[in-house]
Amino acid sequence: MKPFGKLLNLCFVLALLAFFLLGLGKAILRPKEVNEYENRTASRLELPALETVLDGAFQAGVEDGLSDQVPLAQVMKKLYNEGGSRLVLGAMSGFLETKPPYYVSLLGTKIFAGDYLVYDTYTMERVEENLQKKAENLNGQFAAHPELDFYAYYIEKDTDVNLETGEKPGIYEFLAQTLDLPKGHMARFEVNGFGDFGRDFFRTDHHWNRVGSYRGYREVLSLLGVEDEPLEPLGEETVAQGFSGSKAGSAGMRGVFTEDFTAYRFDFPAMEITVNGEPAGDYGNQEAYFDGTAAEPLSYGNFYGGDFGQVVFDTGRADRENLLVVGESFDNAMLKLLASHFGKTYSVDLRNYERSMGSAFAFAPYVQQHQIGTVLLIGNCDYFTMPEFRLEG
Amino acid sequence: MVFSSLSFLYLFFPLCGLAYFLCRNRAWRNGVLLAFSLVFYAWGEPKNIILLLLASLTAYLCGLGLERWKPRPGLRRAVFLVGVVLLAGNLFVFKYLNFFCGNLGRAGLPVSVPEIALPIGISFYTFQILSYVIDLYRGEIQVQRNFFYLTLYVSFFPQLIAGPIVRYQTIEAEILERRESLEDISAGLRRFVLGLAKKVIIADNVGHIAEIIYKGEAEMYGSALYWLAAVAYALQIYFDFSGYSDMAIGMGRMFGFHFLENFNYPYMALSITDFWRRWHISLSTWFRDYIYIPLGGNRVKKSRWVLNLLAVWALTGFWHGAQWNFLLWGLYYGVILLVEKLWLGRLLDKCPKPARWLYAMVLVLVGWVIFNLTDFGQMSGALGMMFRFAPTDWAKVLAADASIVKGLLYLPLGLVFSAPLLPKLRARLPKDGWAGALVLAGENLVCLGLAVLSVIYVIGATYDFFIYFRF
Repeated sequence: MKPFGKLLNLCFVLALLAFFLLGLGKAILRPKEVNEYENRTASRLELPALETVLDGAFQAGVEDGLSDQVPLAQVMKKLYNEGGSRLVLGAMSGFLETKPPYYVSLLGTKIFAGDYLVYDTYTMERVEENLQKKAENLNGQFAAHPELDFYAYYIEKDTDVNLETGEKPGIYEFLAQTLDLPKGHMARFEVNGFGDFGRDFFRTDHHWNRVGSYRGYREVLSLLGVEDEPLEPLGEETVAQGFSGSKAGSAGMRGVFTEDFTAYRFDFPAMEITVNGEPAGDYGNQEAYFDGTAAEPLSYGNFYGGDFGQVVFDTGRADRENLLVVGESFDNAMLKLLASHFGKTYSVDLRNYERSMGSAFAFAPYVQQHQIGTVLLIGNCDYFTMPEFRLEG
Repeated sequence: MVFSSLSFLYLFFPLCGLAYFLCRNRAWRNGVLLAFSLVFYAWGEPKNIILLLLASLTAYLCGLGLERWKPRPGLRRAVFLVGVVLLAGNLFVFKYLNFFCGNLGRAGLPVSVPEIALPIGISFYTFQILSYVIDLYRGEIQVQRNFFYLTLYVSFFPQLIAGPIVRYQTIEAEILERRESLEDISAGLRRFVLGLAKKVIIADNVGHIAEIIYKGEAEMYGSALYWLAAVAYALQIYFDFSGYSDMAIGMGRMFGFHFLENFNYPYMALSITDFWRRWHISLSTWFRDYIYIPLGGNRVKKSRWVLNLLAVWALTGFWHGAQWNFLLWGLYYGVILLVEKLWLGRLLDKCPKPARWLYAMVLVLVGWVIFNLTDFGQMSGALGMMFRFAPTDWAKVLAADASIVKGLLYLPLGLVFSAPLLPKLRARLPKDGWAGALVLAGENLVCLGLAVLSVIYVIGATYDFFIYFRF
C-alpha cells in the first residue's frame, strides 16, 4: 500500500490546504459587498494598523471578514442555521403543535402559541430615556411650526404587550402625556393581547399584515379627519406560500418558520410616484406579485415598498392638501392608500434620507418648499426611541 | 487566537504550514515556527507577549547560570531558587494576587485589590518553563544555549494556550533534529481535524445543556435534569479540552514534534485513581514529578504522606483557577484518592466492572459540578438537587429555553465518542495492501468531510442578521 498510501496522503493534505487557501484568496481578492443572507453590508478584510492591532479591532475584523467572505460562507450559515433549527423543531414538533399559549425561548428567539415568532415585551426602564428625548425633539418642532397640523400615530406590536398576561408597559400613555399635541391629534394602533396580535401581524415578520395595516390605514384616516370614504379591498389573494419574514431571518430560521403571504388587492387611483427624486413606475410591486411576475424574492418591503429616503405620491389633485409622512417601514403598507386622499403625499424615512437625497433632512425648508399642511408622525416604539428617527433641532 | 477560529483555520494555519515547508533549512524552519508562535500569542494579547518573552528570558538566564555554576552547588542552588521563585511569582502575581487580595480585603484587612488581567496560557507556559529549569537543575536535560530555541519551546503555538504541558525533555532532541514526513503531516492533520470536530460539533453544542440549566430556576429543572447538566458539562469539558489536545498533538506531529498523549478515554475509568491516569495526563504527571515526589512521595510517614497528597491536590485544583471552588475540587479528589489508596481501592478491585465504573462516574460528575459552579450557594443547590428527588416540569423547561433540545440532540454523539470505539475499530481494520489503502482513503475522506462540517459549524455560529438593513 506504500505508493498508494503516499498518494492518498498527498491528496488529503493538498485538498485541505487548497480548501483553506482558496478561501483566504477569495476573501482577499474577490470580496462581496453585500451579505444577502444576513441582510447587511458584508464585512471585509482590512489592512492592519498599529492601533487597530493593539486594541484588537484588526483581529476581530479578520474574523468577521472571513466569516462573510470565504467561499460559500452564506450557504454554510444557511445550512447550519436552518439545519439546526429544523432538527430542533423536528424534535419539538409534538410540543409546539399543542400551541402553548406562552413564550417559548428557542435558539435565541421566542415563539408564542407554537408558530408566532415574537419579541420580548419592552419595559419602561428600557425605553423611557429615549422616549423622553424623542418627545423633546418633536415638541421643539411643534412649537416652531404652529402653522402645521401635527399628528402622531403610535403602532403597538408584540413589544408593547405581554402576550401571556396582557400586561402593557404603558409606552403609548407615556408618549401621549409627553407630546404637546392638541387633543385628538394622537392615536394608537392598539394591541391588547394575542387576539389582536395574532390577527394583525405576520407570524414570521416583524410587520403588521394586510389586516393590521388596513386597520391602521382606516384609523389614520380617522385621526387626520379625512372625510373621504376609505378605499375598500377588492378581495384578498395569497401571493405566496412558504413566506419567511424578517423575524425568521434574524432567528436563522428562514424556510423553517413559514406562513402564507396574503394581501388585499386595491384599485388605487392613478398617481405619479418619485422615489428619491427619480420617477418610478410604482412604489412596491404589488401587481407583479399578484400576477406572479415579480423578479425579487418576496418580502414585506419588496411587496409594499421599501424604506426609501423620500417617496412622493402625486394624485394630481391640486384641490387637496399635501401630507408629509415621517415614518418607518410600518407605513410602507399604507402609503399608497393614504396618498389616495391627498394632493401630494411626501414620505420621508429619516434613516435613509441623507444617503439617498445627498443632504440632511431639514424640516422647516422642506415643509415650506412642498407646501405641507399636515404632518403625520407614524411608527412603532422603535421609531419613537431610535435616535436615527429624530428630526433636526 | 484559538484553533477553532476562522483566523486560525484560513489565515494562520495554512500560511504557517506553507512558510514552514517552503524552508529547507532546520534553523529557518524553527525561525518560522517561532515567528508564527509569537504572532499567534500576540494576536489575542499583543501586550502580554512581553511577559512571555521575559519569562523565557528568565528561564534562559537561569539555565545558563545552572550550567556555568555546576561546580558550585551552593550558587547553583541559589540560581535555581531565584529562577523558580521568579517564574512561580510571576504566575502568582498575574493569576492569584487578585484573589488573595480580594479575600484579605473581605476578611477586613486594609488591602486594595489590584486589577490584573490574566494573560492567556500563563499557567501552561509557566509550568513548561518550570519543568525546563527543574529538569536542568536535576541534570536530566542539556542546557539550551540558544535563546530563540528556548523561546520556541515555550511559545510553540500548538501547545501554548491550552496544553498539553510539554516538558522540555520530550522535545529537546526534536528542536534540532526531527524528520517531517508526509505520513506524519497527514496523520497530524487527521488528528487536528478530529480534535476540531470534537470541539465545535460536540463540545460547543452539549455545552448549552449545562449552561441553560444552571442559569435557570432550580425547582423547575428537577433532579433528572441536574444529573443531565452534570453529564453534559462532563462531555463538554472533555471534548473541548481533549479536542484542543488532539489539535495540538496533531499540529506538533505535522511539524515533526511528538507530544505525549494528554487524555486516554477518562470516562472509561473504573476508579478515581484510574480517572486521573487518563485525564489531563500532562498536568497530573507534572504535579507527581515536580511536587509529589520531591515532597517524599509515599516513602514518608503516613501522616506526612496524607499531608503531601492533600497539598498536591489542593495545588492541582488551584492551578485551574483562582477560585475557592477549584481548591475544593482539588481537595475533593485528594480525599477520594486517599481513601482509595488506603482501603477502598482493594474493595473496588473485587467489585464487578459496571459497579466500579458507576462509582467512578458518579464521583467524577459531582466533581464537575464543584468545578463548574464558582458560586457556593448555587453549587450546593445543584448538588442538593442531584441527591434528592425533585420532579421536572418539562413544559416550563421547554418554555424557559427550548434550545436545550439542541444540546440533547448532540448528547448521544458525546456519549458514544467518549468510549474508545474509534481506536477499536481502527485496530480491526486492515493496514496493508489494497484493503489498507482503501481504509486510508476512507479515513481521509471522513476527515475532509469533518473539516468542512467543522468549518460550517464555526461559520454558522457567526450568523448576524441585520433586521433594519433592507427588507
